[in-house]
Amino acid sequence: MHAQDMQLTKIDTEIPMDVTKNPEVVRSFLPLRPVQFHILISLSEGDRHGYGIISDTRERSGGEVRLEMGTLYRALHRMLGSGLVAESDQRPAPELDDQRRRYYRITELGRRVARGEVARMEALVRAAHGTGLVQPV
Amino acid sequence: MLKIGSWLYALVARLLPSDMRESVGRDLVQAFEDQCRAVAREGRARALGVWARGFLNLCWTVLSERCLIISRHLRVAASEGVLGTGTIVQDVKLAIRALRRAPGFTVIVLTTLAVAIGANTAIFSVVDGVLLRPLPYPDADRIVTVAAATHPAPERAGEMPFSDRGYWHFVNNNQAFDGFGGYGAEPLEYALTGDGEPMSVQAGVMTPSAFAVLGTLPQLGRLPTDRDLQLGALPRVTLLSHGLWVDRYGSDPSIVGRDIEVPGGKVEVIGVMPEGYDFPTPNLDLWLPLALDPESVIFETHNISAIARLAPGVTIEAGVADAERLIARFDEAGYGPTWFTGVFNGKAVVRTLKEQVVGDARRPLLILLGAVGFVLLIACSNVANLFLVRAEARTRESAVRIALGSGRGRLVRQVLAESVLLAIIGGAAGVVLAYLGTMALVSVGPASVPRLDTIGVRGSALLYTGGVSVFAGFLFGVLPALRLGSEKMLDALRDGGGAAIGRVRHRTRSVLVVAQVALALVLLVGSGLMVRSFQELRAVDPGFTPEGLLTFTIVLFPPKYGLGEPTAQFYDELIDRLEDIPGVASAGGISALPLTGGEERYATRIDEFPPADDEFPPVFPFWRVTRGYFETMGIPVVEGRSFTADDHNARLGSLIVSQSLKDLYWPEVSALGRRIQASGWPAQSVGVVGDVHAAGLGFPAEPHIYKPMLDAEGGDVRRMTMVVRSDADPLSLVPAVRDAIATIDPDLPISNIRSMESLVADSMSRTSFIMSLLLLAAIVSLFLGSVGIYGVISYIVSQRTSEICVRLALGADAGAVHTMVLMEGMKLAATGVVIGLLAAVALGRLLTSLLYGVTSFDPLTLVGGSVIFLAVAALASIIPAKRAAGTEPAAALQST
Repeated sequence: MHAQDMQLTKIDTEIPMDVTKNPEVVRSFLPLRPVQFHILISLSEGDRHGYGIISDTRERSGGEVRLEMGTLYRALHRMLGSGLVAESDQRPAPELDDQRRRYYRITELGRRVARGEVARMEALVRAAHGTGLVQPV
Repeated sequence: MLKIGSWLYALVARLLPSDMRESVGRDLVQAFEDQCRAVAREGRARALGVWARGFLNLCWTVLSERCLIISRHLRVAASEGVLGTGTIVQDVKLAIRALRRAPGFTVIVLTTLAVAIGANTAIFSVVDGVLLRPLPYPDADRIVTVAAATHPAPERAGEMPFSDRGYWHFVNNNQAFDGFGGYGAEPLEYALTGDGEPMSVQAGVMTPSAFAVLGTLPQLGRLPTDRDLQLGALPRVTLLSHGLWVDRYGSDPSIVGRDIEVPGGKVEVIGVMPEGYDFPTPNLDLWLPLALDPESVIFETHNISAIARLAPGVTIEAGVADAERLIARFDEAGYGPTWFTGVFNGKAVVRTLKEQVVGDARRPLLILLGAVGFVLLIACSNVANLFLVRAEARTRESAVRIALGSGRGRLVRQVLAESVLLAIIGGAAGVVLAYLGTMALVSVGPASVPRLDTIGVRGSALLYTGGVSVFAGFLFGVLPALRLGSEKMLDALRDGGGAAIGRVRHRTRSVLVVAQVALALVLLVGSGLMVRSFQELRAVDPGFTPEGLLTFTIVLFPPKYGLGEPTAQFYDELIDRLEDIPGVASAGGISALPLTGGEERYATRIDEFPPADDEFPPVFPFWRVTRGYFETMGIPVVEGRSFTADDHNARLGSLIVSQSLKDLYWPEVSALGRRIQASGWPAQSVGVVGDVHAAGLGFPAEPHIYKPMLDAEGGDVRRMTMVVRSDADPLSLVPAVRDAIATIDPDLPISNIRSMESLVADSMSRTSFIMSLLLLAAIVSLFLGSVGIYGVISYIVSQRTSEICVRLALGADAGAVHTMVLMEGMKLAATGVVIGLLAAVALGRLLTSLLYGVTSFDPLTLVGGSVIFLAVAALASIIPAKRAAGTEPAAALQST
């Protein structure tokens, strides 16, 4: 079984399907604050602990985005409460693990909200197309 | 290091709201440790940076989360309809009533806050006036000073102004500056003779281009231009200061265009500068345009300081690069190769004018601001402690109110209303104290603090006070208020128990007290170091005897006093007349008194030690002195003789060297009769005198040379500072001195009338100023810290009364109880002392540049400070310990 599938089944037990799939619920989270979006992006590729999210985000942005620990955990606290992320019980191999660390994973709701945010941003960029504001990549 | 950092971080993380702390708190600290460990590999500086950012971020997170909760409470309160204006008025009334019921508490809290907030505002006002406010010139941050750096040699300053030729070299060839001007760093003593009493005035000397660089226009008339200049002659025009214009010319606008009389002729007033224009030095009376000779061949005289305006887009670094390019080409301006091996090191010193003006006042001021910040923190934790005690006393009241259905919001609001009210009143009283304090600071502040005149409690300082008060109110009010309203506590109250809260409070209060002790010890050690420096400075023998000396300055102007013989005759006669005054033992004069700067410096050739071809001759400071100077000052003549009247009249070409100069060249043999040439003037040594700490008591005595008043070149002794020794109080001689001068010339003004003792005191004023303020801060915090310890120990004793009673009832003797309570207090104090010592050693390094004769790691001060603190802590614990030991078991048990 895929790791992702495994997560999916787990989420279904936490939050009723109808809530996660309700577009109104997803929309109520948008727009996301940048730090929340970075967290969701980082967790979308696998479970991570706090410092892991910070280093991943920094690498991903080429050193541009530097999350501070307090800001990160403030957001994580909120996102845990609203069900966008959850504590992961998957842990790395024991020799790499530190028992004191907690790992976080993206929930299905979180994944949908992140997709929603991407779609929202794409729509914004699309609106700007043909205005000369968009630099050809 | 990592451990302390993590510990501090974890400590602050505990201030997060409980829900967040429980959900992610521990993990946050863990992840931060991970991060710190990871960056520790990249070097110490980087790790420290990451830690500091993370720590500040956490503080911010705590603050915003807490604010969020408060605003949520307020919203709830508002929706419950308890936040109308009516209820706020009611709250305030209730608070006033409650505070009036507890006058002791109110007075202590208000005094503590007013002193702390007042001190903060006063010091901030000084910092604001000196460091933060921009200089009063258009686009002032583009104005820079430019100088050539010199080789580090003990006998030379680190940077050197320009000669006439060097100045023109820069004017003509620079690419980085939009205007380059020259000025004399020291004002010229001048005299006004027409329009009333003759008056001694201070004149600033600046090239027209320097006026243009500054960019300030006169309030009347015009600025000088190059057409007003006359090389080698008296300037034809002058600008008046606002003050002189008002005082001497009655604010008459028609003064512009009129001639005023100065010794030797007339100058035309072309304008009046606005009030507060104080370049190059404050308190000038007029300005004269300065003409510099592009063809000058005098290279030894470097007395033209330079200011320039950076061209648009040019950074300071680019300015430095351009200046260094020009210094490398100084040979084009006529400088021979020895100048590069002996004087210029090729570097340029370009800094903003503000940096130049503020100078080394920056660090002491920031240290003082930090010190009063500490006092504020101590005051806040003290007040928070008092609030906790009060909350404790009110548990029953709160319980009853809750039982009667009072909402949690209301309880919190009432405590908040009290703390906010206290913070506002304390802040207001603080502003009053700050006004007084600032006035006091400005009046006792040493003259070496620049821009003192711009200091005042201003809008920005009031804004700062507002911020400080709100911060203080938050610190001491909100935390106890939230604890008061917390569910846990209310549950505990409902259960009728107090032990759980007791423990929580006990811990909080102990942490607060430990923090107070640690902060106060840092201040105590800091001020202790300054006290030790001051002692060391006072113990320095200046090389002369300042007691009983009167000093004053005389300036002689041509044509009444021609250069050369006539001035010499004047001073000869003056000394005779001064010595005729009853009670006067002797009198003499010098071109510039020790400790006041103003010496001349010459490249000096000693015949027996000629410099190699590629070597620059040594440079020594020179003073011109009259006969009687050494005897009057009490400077011992070690070898040979001092100057006599013959030295002036016969032009023997004699000079006198200092002991340290003799030790440098002729340590074993006599220094008499040695041939020494300074600026081409051959002379021979006729005496050796004791060393004088001329540059300041904190500086080692430099080898130096005295010339007679006149020499083969004629000399320039237009300005002389006279010294008069008597047994009486020096200043009581002033009328007799004035009379003596008037018998020679009734029109001659005298200025700078001082006792030598006050001059010596002034030279230590920076150290004594910082010392007094730090000492004040330390005493206040020592007091607050001991009050804190007393409060907590009393509290612990009251909490443990029943336990103590049981112990006593079971036969424990009073001495054991006494010791037990005492140890509680000492434990807190010792923890605080250990943390404080670590912090003091770490922060002591900031003081290093202000210390003299002690290092920042001074065991005596560190141990002394700790002992003082432990002693005070013991004293503060003895009273509650006595009370505990004297408890009547039966009575105490009945009352609980």
